[in-house]
Amino acid sequence: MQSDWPSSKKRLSEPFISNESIACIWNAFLCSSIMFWRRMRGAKDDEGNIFQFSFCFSILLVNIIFCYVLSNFRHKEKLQVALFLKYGFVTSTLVYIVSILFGAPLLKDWDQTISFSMLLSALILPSVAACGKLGNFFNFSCLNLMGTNELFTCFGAWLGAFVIPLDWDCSWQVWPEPVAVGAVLGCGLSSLLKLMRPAMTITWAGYKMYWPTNFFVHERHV
Amino acid sequence: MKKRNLLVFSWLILLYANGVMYFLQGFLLTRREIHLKSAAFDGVSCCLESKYEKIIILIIDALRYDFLVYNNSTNKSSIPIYQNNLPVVEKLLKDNHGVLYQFVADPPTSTMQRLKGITTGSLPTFIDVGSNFASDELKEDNILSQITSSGLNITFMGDDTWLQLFPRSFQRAFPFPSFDVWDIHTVDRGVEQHLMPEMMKPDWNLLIAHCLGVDHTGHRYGPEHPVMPLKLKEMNSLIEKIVSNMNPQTLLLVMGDHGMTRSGDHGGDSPDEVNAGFFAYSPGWNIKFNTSRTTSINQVDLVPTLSVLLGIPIPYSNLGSVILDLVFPEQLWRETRPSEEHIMKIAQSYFSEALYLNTKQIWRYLETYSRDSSFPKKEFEHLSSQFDRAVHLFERLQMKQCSNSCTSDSSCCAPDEKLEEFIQAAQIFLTEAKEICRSMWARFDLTSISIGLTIFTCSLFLHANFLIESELNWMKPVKYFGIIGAFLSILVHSWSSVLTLGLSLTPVFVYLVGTMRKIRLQQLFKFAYLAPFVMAASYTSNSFVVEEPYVVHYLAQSFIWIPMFFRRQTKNRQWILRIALSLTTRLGLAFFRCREEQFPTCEAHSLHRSLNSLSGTNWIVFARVSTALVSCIAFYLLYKRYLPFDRKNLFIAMIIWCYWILQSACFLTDSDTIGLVYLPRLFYIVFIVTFCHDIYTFLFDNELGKMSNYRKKISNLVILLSTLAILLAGDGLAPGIILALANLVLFSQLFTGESNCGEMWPLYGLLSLHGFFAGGHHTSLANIPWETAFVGLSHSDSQSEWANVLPVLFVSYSTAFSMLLHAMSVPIVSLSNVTRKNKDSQMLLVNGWLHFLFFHAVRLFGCMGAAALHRRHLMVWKIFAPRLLYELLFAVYTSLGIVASLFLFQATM
Repeated sequence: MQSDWPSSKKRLSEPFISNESIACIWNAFLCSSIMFWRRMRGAKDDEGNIFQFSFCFSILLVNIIFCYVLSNFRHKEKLQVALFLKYGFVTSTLVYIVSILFGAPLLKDWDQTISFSMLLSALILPSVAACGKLGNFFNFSCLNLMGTNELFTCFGAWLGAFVIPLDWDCSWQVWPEPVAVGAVLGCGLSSLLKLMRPAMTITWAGYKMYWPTNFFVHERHV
Repeated sequence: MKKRNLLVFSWLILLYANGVMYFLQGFLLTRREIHLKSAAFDGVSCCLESKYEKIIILIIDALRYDFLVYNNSTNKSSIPIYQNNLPVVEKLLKDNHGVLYQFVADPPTSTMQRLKGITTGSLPTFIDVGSNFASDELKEDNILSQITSSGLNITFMGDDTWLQLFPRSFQRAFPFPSFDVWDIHTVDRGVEQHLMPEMMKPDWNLLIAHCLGVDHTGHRYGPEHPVMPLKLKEMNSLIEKIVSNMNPQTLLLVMGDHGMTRSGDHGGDSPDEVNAGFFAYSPGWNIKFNTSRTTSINQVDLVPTLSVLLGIPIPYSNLGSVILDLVFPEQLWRETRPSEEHIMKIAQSYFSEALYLNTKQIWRYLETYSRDSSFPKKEFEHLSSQFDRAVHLFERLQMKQCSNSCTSDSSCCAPDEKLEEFIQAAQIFLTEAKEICRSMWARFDLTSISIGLTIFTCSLFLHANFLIESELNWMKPVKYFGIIGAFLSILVHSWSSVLTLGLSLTPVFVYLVGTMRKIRLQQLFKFAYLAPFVMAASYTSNSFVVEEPYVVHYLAQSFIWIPMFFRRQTKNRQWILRIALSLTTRLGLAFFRCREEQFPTCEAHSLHRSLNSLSGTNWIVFARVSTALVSCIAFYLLYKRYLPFDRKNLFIAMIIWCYWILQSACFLTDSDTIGLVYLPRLFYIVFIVTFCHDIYTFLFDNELGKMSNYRKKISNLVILLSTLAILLAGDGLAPGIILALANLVLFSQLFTGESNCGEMWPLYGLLSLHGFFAGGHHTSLANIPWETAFVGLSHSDSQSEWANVLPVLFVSYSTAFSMLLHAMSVPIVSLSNVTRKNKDSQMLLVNGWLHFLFFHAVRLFGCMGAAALHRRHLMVWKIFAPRLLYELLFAVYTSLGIVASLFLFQATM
């Protein structure tokens, strides 16, 4: 298996810390604070579901600001605000449609579905922007380049849906809370894994293998 | 080559059938209901004099025996929290006014089956093969119908299950909802509120009060939770209130219908579940004389006892024996105060009369039952000799006995020993009859269940082996042996289990070992193949079974979309087809039906309802008409574009449309025309003629070897078959079926030319299930589409013996239509871009059938495993067993479709 890890020469010319790593740290921080906040709120009142419209919208905004700052101060490629707004709108709509297709109620709880779709697009945004994929995101073929972070986020959301039908009668089993929690956990987990990647590199039979990145697909590094 | 296909499929299907048969033999024990009624004048069951004017039955659901027992241990901490909460029982027992028994229920210990047991005196199994599945109303002779037909009155309050069973028996009823297991108070409060006023009224003879609080507390918290004593104390105060208002002519029976396990559940046959408590009390009693010998009675014994006490005939299919302690004639003691010795004699003659009635009634029932159904012969002869002996003894008594004058003077009565002898003989007969019937009806046969599962597992391995395509020439004789062995083992399955196992499994093992070296694991394993296994595992959880339509839909969507993430390049055509497939699948969601367990959260769409039962506003009708139109146009376009279309199917569709229009017109004008019967009949005639024509063209009018021709004929046949399903489903659900067809077409287009898609066959299987749910079905007994049974048949011609065949066919067809459709259209999908017959194309086809069968077989295995695993689960007869039955129906229709299209394939090629 050919590795695409940059050679040592190239590595020297890189900045001390890459944009990707910063995005990972940010993601891990954001996800853990969301989970912490959820925990605190859940202890206070039984309602528990923090993934309301305003909350998700503010997370999307925060992430957009973060990515704007990141890309414009540390990146050669300057990205316009309009691009971020377009990204937020299009991705949220896409996720909204997909969640309807996957069985979210069509008319009932539409606000919940919208908040969930905004949360998901917010969670994906930092890694997309940091990998430099945002510029050509609207090119369809880019879905093939889904990175670890995006995959884990979607996969976490997918797994989260499996607790909804269980008859435990818990307040957190109602759409979209478990799905949102799954997405947040998946995002946080994958960020941590990506940060630990150098430590987890395995050399085997002369090949370098990165886990978990090339477990799925090769990630394109910029 | 040709023979090989047939061999493979017949071997697999025979093996599966063998396993399933074994499993069902152990799991589903059936009993046939007999709808005859006992009557006062039929010579057998004429009655004794009634002993009480009024009887109060207080059923405390899940009242275990040890809840009633007083624990007088000095060490307080060793007393369980649920004991000693009913002090009134202990007090009455001390005063010699009451008796306490262990009340042994028969499994299944679910409330519905137990109520049937308590009222009919028989041993209900899961399937009581009666004339009518549709309503829960009890058709067998029972104590309530006997009471009402004798002119006595019944008042009822409590659990509404009683009203489902006996909708017409009560003069006054106060039912309360029993479904919400977490609601521990509603029913009990209702009973408390109505019990005292009703007791004060003079017009009842039997008062039934059924409290659910203890049961629900058990389900919610378990018996060792602090809520349990509170609930039991409530029951205590209720009993105290009743006791303080009773007169000597009244009898109070407090009983549990079943017990509960340590976790608070019930349904199975562990000692904790079957040992309920039974407490009887009457103010006029003194049990000093009546030295009660038994401590434990059977639940079925209640029915004959009540009959004797109230002086009514014993219900026809009762199997219980009279509880002698309760029919003890204390009123004699109260009135005449005879000596102790004397009263025993009178009591014994009274006992012997009651037992004689009981014996004759049970013998009549056994005779009737064994006349039409299988009854073990040896046991029957044994019982017959026992019965003859008892009758003989009784008749000898009769000659020496003088009947009525005996009450005051004991000297003329039969001698003690003779009475004793008869009583013993009768009791032996009664116990043995009960035991034999119980062994026949009410026990899981674990050996048989595990044999069935073993055979099924091995056949799954064999099936997986066939999937990897490993063909060795010398293996052909093994296949022949396998088929013969499986067939023989089905024939001999009643003889010996070792023989069956050997016959059916030896060839399987030989085959597996022989092909072992050829297996390549990488070929075997693709991620998507996990789908049926995941579904099979999900059947062990009741909530996943309840929500199965949504699970299936979710998985299907996942299988449509997830592969797109792992593709390097995707064509636009792929995207469009996947979006369309995803959309049609999502639209099917609107036709899903809710089952009972989902009700507070799930709301059925009004799209389901047929136009002639709509009572909505105009816009609902408008929405209905427009969805129907849109789906029809979509359907037409799809077929025009992608499938060869035959004009005569349009004519058939016209008949169906006319029928629906006529139906709604009749509904709107509130009239009835003969066209409602004759239009469907016209349809059936055209259908049969077209069907025969299609088969004829298959067999004789073929251009040999041309695949497109074969595909065209198959799709014609599929459309023809689906028109029948559409007619049966009615106009409300027709779009659901059309969506399933559209799904099929899109699916076949999506995988045209895609050879190596792991998700293809799992997705196909999921879509077949989705088609089932989108047809407005669900896997519960309450959702069986009974309304389809009489489309085009008038109720009046259901007289002949064959009258049941068509309705059964219609109901099963409209239920499992989706499986038949998908099994038949495997060629359309797998041959969509093959032009000529060759070895490869045939491989593709056989592979498709094998995959489809494998998908359903794995899920069937999951259902069987879940049912066997949860045979003591609370919901087994409500969720797991119905799921298994539906799955069996699917399996039958799947194999039917596969065999049919395989046969047509062989004939054409």
